[in-house]
Formats: sequence, structure tokens, C-alpha cells
Amino acid sequence: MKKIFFGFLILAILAIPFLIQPRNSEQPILIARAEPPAGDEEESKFWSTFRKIFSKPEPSWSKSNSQTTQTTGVRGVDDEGKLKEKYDFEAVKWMENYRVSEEGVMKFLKARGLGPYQGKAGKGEGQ
Amino acid sequence: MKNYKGLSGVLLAAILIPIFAWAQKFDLKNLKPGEVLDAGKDLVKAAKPMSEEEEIALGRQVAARLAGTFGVWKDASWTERINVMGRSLAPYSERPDIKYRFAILDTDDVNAYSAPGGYVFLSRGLLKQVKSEGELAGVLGHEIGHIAKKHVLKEIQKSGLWQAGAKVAISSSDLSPEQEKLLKGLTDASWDVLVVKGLSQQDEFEADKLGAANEAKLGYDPYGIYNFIKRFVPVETKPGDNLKALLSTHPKPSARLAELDKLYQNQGWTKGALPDFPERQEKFAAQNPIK
Repeated sequence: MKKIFFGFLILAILAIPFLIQPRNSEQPILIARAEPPAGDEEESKFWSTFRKIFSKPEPSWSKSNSQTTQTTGVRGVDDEGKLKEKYDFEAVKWMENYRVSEEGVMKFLKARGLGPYQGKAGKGEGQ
Repeated sequence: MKNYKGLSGVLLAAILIPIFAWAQKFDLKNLKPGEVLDAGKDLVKAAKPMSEEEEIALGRQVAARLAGTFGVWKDASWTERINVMGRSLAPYSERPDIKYRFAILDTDDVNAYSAPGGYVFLSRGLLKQVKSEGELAGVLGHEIGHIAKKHVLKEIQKSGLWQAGAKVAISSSDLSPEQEKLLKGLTDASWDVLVVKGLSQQDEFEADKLGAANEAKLGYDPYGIYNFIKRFVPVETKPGDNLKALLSTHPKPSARLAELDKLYQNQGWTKGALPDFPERQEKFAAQNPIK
């Protein structure tokens, strides 16, 4: 019993310097008010090793996200120019506003005997 | 036995010390009751699935990135063609109640993408490879199938990125820096699923089957999608540059055909029982050459 106690005591004493390291939480972004993650230089080796061992592995693409989030602005391009992100909202608007006439669709279907015209194909109508 | 006691103590300490260290991360003394309540409420909200409005808002972001990255080929005839066919297929899909929109990406790569909320993109390179209307209907049905089954959204929700803050972010115009990060994270994750990593094999097989079923319901030969995929079997181990992206984000064409075969057998569908109009497609392509 004494040996157990002493074994525990010695390890506990050895661990004290690690336990009193400054707290630099790398918490997941959960709510909008979450504190920004601490910089890498503040990261103690203990915590990084600890996280590697005990945290769940992230999906590979999730890891890359966290990197791009650190270095890019929204809808922007990263500092190193690796991810040339471009957003074209005008093209999306054009896509959303694109109209197809019901008449055009029905003509197309009728010519091929599709949809409501199955089994009653027309000949040569439409392209 | 005595010799193990010291070792047990060391082991016990090795287990307990990391636990203490982990517990120390939580600053329990300075917790504010209001923040705890808010965080709790946010977690409850985060458990809810994405609404249709939120899905469309996210889809717009992803669609804008696809359009911005590849460019949109606004050819009047081809745009009309894929919109007419796509909108004819949509009512026969598994999810007929949302608005599907179709556009062509200005790239020689053979590929197609479906962003959440109904945004479907086919590439110019893909259209060059299509040899019949049935093939085109099968590809469109495949993409509609991804949207109908919310394949991208499921990946997002699995990743844990779908959080309450993100929900707020995608539906608001005035974003805080944190919300911007969340929105960026969601868009990046969707982008990675669609463009970089690809969906799971199961999701791709399911979309193939939905594509075949969708075109069959409209009246096209359900082998349209089969014929299209079959074209890439000879190059599946050595794809050209314009096929690399497609083959790296999708299962091998031969595996896709094997899965489709199972569907055809189950359904009792035979090749050529319904029309696929290769001559109409050929005529249309000749009248409207793709650059």
C-alpha cells in the first residue's frame, strides 16, 4: 500500500509543473461569443501532446478547414495564394432568375412521348 | 504480487493526472450563468436539422464559389436544354417540392456538382461526352438525387460544423467575425465534400440508382446513366487530365456499373425498353457545337 502511495506521490510531484502551465484553451467554436484560440507560440508542448493523444481524430477536410479559417477572410483568398477562392453571386442570381416556359417544357416532352405524354409520342416536334 | 503494487500506483497516477489536467481546462469559478444558459440553448438549436431556407442559403454560397471558380458558360441553347430536361425530371424525383436550378460550368473537366438547396452544375466538358438524351437525363437525375437525399448536408452535420452559430450566420447579412468564420467553415466543408474529397461511395451509388429511376419515371431508358458511366471504364486506371477530378471523387466506373446492374435486375429493367434518343442529341450537339 505504501508503495502505491509513494509511486503516486512521486508522479504527482513531477506533474505539478505541467499542471500549473498557463491555460490557453483551444476550444471548438461553439457559440458566436467564443474566445479566439490562443497563438501557437503560447501552446505548451504538454497540451499539444495531450490533445494529440486524447482528442478524437478530426476528418481530414475538417483539419484543412481550421487552417484556412485561420489565414483567410470570408469570401477571400488566403495569404499564401494557395486557395484562390472566388465567389460569383451574380452568376447565381442569373441561374435563379432563369425561366423556362411551361409551354417549352410541354412541347419538349410531347415530342418525345415523355412525362405526361408517355406512350403518345409526337413526331418531329421540338428539338 | 507485492512487486506489482508500485507499478499499479504509477499506472493509477498516469491515468488520474491527465484527468486532473483536463479538468483544469474548465474555469468553473468564472462561469457566468447567462453564458451557460445561452450555450445550452445553442446546443439544443444545433441538434435540429437544417431548414430548407438555411439549406438554400448555404447552397447559394457553394454555388457562388463553383460559379466563381470555374466560371459559368451561358450558352443560350445548352442552358435552355439542361433547364428543360432538369425541370422535367424534378417532379419525378424523390424531392419534387424544391426549386432546382441548372447551369453549365465553363471547364473542360468532365464533372457535375450539386450544391444544397437545388443548385445543379454540369461542366462543358461533360456535355461534350454525352451521346444521347438518356445519358444527359441520367446525369441530371444523379445530381438531383444527391440534393433529394441531402448527401452534402449529411456530411456537414456528421462533421459537427452545423452549430447554432452557423445557423444564424447563413441566414444573416450582417455577420460578426465569429459568424463569418462559421459560415466560411460550412462553405469550405461543402466545397471539400463536393470538389476535393467527394461523397461516400454509398451516396454515389445511391445517386446513380436515383438517376436511373428518375429518368425511367420520366420515360427515358434507365440505362442512360449506365451508358454514360461505361464510357469511362477503359480509362478508370489511367484517366486523362479532364477526368482526374471526376474519378478521384467518385467510385470506379466499373463498381458503379456493378451497383446499377443490381438495380436493373431487381426492377426487371431491360436495355432499350424505353427510348434514349441518341439521334436527337447528336442533331442538337451538331447544331450547337461546344467550344
